[in-house]
Amino acid sequence: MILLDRAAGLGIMGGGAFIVLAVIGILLFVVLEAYPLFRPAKIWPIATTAGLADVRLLGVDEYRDLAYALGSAPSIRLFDPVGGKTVSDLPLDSLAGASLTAAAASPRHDRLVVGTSDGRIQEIDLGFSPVYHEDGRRTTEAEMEQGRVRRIGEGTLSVRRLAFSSQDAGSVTLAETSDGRIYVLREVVRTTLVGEAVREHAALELGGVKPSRATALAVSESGRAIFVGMEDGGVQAWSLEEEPRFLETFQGVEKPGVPVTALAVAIGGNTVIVGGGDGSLAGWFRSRDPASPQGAKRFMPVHRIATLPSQVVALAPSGRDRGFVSADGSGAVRLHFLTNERTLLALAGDGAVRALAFAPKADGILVATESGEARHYGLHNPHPEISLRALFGKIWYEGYDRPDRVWQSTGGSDEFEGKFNLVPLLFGTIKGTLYALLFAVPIALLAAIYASQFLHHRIRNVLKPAIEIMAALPSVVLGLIAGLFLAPRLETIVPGTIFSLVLLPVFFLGASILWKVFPARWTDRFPTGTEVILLIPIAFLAIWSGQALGPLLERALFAGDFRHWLNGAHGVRYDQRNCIVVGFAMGFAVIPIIFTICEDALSAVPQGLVSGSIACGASRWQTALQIVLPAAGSGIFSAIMIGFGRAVGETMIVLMATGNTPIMDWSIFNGMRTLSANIAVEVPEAPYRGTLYRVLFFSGFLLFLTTFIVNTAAEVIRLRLKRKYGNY
Amino acid sequence: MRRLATRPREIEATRRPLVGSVWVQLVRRGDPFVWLTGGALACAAVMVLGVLAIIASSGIGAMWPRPLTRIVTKDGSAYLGQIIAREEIPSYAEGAGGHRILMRIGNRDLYGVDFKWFDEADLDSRSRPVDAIVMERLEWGHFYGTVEAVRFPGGEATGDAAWPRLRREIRESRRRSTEIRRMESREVGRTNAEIEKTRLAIRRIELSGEAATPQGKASIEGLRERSAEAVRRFEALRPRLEGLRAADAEYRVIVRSARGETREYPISHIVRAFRPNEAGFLGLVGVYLSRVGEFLSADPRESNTEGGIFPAIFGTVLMTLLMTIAVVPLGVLAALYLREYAKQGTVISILRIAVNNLAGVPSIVFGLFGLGFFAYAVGGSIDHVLFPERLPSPTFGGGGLLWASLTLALLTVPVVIVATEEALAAVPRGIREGSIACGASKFQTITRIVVPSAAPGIMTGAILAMARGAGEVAPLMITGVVKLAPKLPLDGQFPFLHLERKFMHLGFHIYDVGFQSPNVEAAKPMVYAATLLLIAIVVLLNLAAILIRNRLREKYRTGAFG
Repeated sequence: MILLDRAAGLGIMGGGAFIVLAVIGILLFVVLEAYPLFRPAKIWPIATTAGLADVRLLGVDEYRDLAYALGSAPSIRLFDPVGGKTVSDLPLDSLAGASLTAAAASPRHDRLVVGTSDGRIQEIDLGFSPVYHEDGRRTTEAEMEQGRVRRIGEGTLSVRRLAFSSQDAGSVTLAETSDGRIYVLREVVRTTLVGEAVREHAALELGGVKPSRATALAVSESGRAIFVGMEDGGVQAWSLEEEPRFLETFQGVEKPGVPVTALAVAIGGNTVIVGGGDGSLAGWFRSRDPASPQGAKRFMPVHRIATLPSQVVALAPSGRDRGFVSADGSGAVRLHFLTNERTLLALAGDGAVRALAFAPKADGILVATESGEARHYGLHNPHPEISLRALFGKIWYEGYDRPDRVWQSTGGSDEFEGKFNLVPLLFGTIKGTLYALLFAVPIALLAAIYASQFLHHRIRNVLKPAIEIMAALPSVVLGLIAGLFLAPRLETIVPGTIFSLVLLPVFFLGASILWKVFPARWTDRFPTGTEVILLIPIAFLAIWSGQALGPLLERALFAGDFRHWLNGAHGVRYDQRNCIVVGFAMGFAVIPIIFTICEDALSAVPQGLVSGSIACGASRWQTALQIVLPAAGSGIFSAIMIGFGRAVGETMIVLMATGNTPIMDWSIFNGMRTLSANIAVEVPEAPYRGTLYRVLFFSGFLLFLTTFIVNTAAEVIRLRLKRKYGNY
Repeated sequence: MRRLATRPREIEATRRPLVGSVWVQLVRRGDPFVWLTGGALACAAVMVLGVLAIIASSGIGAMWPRPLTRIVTKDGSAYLGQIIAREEIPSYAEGAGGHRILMRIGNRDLYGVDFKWFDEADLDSRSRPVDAIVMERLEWGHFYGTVEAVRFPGGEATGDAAWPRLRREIRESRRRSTEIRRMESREVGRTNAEIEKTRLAIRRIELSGEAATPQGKASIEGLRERSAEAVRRFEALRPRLEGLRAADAEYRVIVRSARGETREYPISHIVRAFRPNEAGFLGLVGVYLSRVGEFLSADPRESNTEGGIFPAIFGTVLMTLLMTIAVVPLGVLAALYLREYAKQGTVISILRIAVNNLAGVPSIVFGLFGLGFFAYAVGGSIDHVLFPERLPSPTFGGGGLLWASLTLALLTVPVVIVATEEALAAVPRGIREGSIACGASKFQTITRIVVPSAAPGIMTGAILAMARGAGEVAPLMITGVVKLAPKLPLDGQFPFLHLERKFMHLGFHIYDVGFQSPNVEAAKPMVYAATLLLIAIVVLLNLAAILIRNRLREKYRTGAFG
């Protein structure tokens, strides 16, 4: 028996403690899900492959099973980047005899172009195909297909530099010969009527570049933008539609006279990354020029990312996001992210770097050094775009005219960059909460004063359950009333409604004065504390008068139509689902909470204080205002805080009664999007443990923290108040 | 008291005799301000009354059949429909100063839209033809028009005979189609379940790596045979079903729209037909009751804008029950620990504050937790261990009934803890001491004496938790509620209660139909009716809790030992 008792005791202790702790563990879980956002990128060496001399190009397949390097011999050397062994050589038969002088690859590394010492250029398709074995192992095999050999210039000059991009419908190659001329070679794949693919080739010289001044070349992935970096630090930008069209030259390296040493185009094709001889790294894209009165667009140094200790030798952009890898003169390799201008990690230099490759899935880096080694690093960097600045600060996104705070988590294309700024949502949350409290606090507080100090106990028994039912109404119902019933009706009666709100207190005050004039025969029937029965019809009367007078007012003040006037005279847009609607609905949800706690606090003020005050000759109002209210002050404060906590986290009402657009505008006639509604809208679509998912957990954590702090503070204040008057 | 003594200004102010002008008296006595505070309370009361009145009137009236009005516009086109709203034309629009009416003109297959605005100034005539019928159909919404003829095997009814015949045939047809549907759903459901089961069993054998062994081959062969057998059984039934359907299709009705087009529809597509202008009050009540019946018991159709909401009611009730089953033991255990076993001190006060404040943590955060922890983390692991053959489509690894219920249980556990703690505290000390004095152990005292005495309080907590849970939507919409669930979570297929299934919920239904529906105007009656139902459930639960609480107070007020 005793044993059973002990066991049961332990069971309850253990179980109870576990439940309490598990409940608190929610916070921990939410934090843990959000935490990886802020973990630094991780890099680790995997293997080093030796014997790769004079490397001009490196590439690797999607799974990082098989890599290749191109040296000066006309062959592709395949090697195993994990085992660190060379696998085989794929000889380039049609280029036999010549030596390779330049090479470039597409971002997925599966198409490349090579140039030789005798001016020949050839495109090569490398098909990587993973093979799954019986025992679950995976190996990757490469299959090569050589394209047509083309010649540029007179055939005597060697190819000095290449840039390349390939699309489904063809490719664009940018080639510089040893005399400094630059050629654009295009291949267009056309499908004939019978469904046959025909490849058409064209080559033309890029005019306007003085011989031997170009120091770097780049082509965007779409092949529509061409960039030529020059000796004096300038970058020429061209657009390529049918013909190359010169756009402008901008000073890519801002220090004059310093050459451009590396160029790359980030994903999306609009931002060019410029590396300079002085180690400067900057991202440029076309944007509205603030200096130009017409707002013309020109290239702007949007992202000044870093200044490396020595010249930028190589750049490799990611094919996944706006990250890229750089190598400097000392051989140090760094990982950067364009949009938030962060350098995520750095590897100390160990011998000069000849070539860089960023794995197609952005999960690894290959570095070829002067000493003939290819080093393979694994990379874990799932959320490069997140930084405190990205979450809260202003960021200049591609396609925007200025740095801004934007929330836009999903877009139409793969190249879309998620914009995860929480400030518009925080703003929306605070805006909604403030309007709700603006509406709720006066009503709840005044009502609580009346209910606790003056209300007749019999009416109290009727009104209390009414307020309790008000608290029990599901928020989805309030949202429905607000969004489907109130919003479309309010649209036409805005002035009348505002007028009604003004008339309500006027009518109440007026009624009290009229009451004095009434003969005592009538007024005696309503003893103190029963005024509220008379006031309900008066409230209806006030609302009705406001609505009746509203159209007159609208005609007199707002030229007949308020919304038109608002838009015309003040340029304020009127949204159907706006803050008046939200304020009302959320206020409705908050009033019972504030009311109940306020009333408890006011009722808890010891009767002795009240009696004392009345005995001293104070009127009941003076007692309420000057004795009871200050005494219950902290309780009232805590009530408002708990109301705040409830309004901050309210989801359904906001979801239904606002337009859910993440804009930052204090206007009461606009909507907003709050943190909580944002979670509800976006989390079903967010990939598990992706960046959006974790950002939403982070915003959930912010909500949790806010409400928890506010509620705990309120609770502590309340308890202190209880202790203070507990001994009366 | 100290406060009074140190603030002589106040006393000064109050001691002065109430003289001076009426205004000064008024302000000093403060009656207007008292009235103002009373006004605030009146406003709150008006708001509650207003919201309840709006929902009650819109909800109760939603199903009431409105009369059909035939209008002819000045350019000669005629429409038949129900007038939904009338409003003044805004001043900036054409025809300002006049009124316009919104009509539900139905016949979506003919007109493309259900609703149309008409300026009253453009109308030539209005009438209420007695022979106008409303035909509620399985697809394309309502049809408004007149009956021309009814065709049935071996005959045709035209003229005055058409309408009574149509009514009879609809009744017959409803009976037939119920039978067909029952047969279909039973047989098709059984066949599909069988095929799916064998497919999964085969997949399981393949995954276990035994597919190549002779034993594995044999069992796969057997399973394939079973699947084929199920299909054959179903095929054998098909001619009968098709025969029934073909016979059903021979009953047709020919109707004419207000514009004069005639259309022929199979009677099996008609849910209900009536003549609102002729029916009289009792007839309309009949239609109303029949609609309410359908609303409560039928599945939704026309992307949730018509039909019933039975699956949503069912889902709400089942989810709330599961939640209660989870939350009551949890809450009671935690409260027993906090109140009876834990040593009262700072740690416990902090824990208590933390638990209390969990009630104030936004429900969407609980939803996030439910999705991330229950569905993705726990559910994902369950899938990997128990249902590898179904991957990559999740079984427990996505939102579902179980996870939604558990999430809501976490959300409502503070309610139960607080209520139970209060109830435990209210159990008089004398009873406990009596029990201990009789030689009972602490555990015996708690299980036999304390918990039974606190039972009404615990029940209050449970009911309050149910009320909160039934009305909560935000966490559910990310942990398993869907707009249309193909199957109920409780059915005749083993294991009968499908905890992993997604389900429908009243609250989410309101949000989805009212705000995400392609045809919000047509869905409004459904939305308001569903709202009324939800409020009725929540308010009833709350009233029950209040009643129990009050009775409990009475009991202890009189029964306390001193």
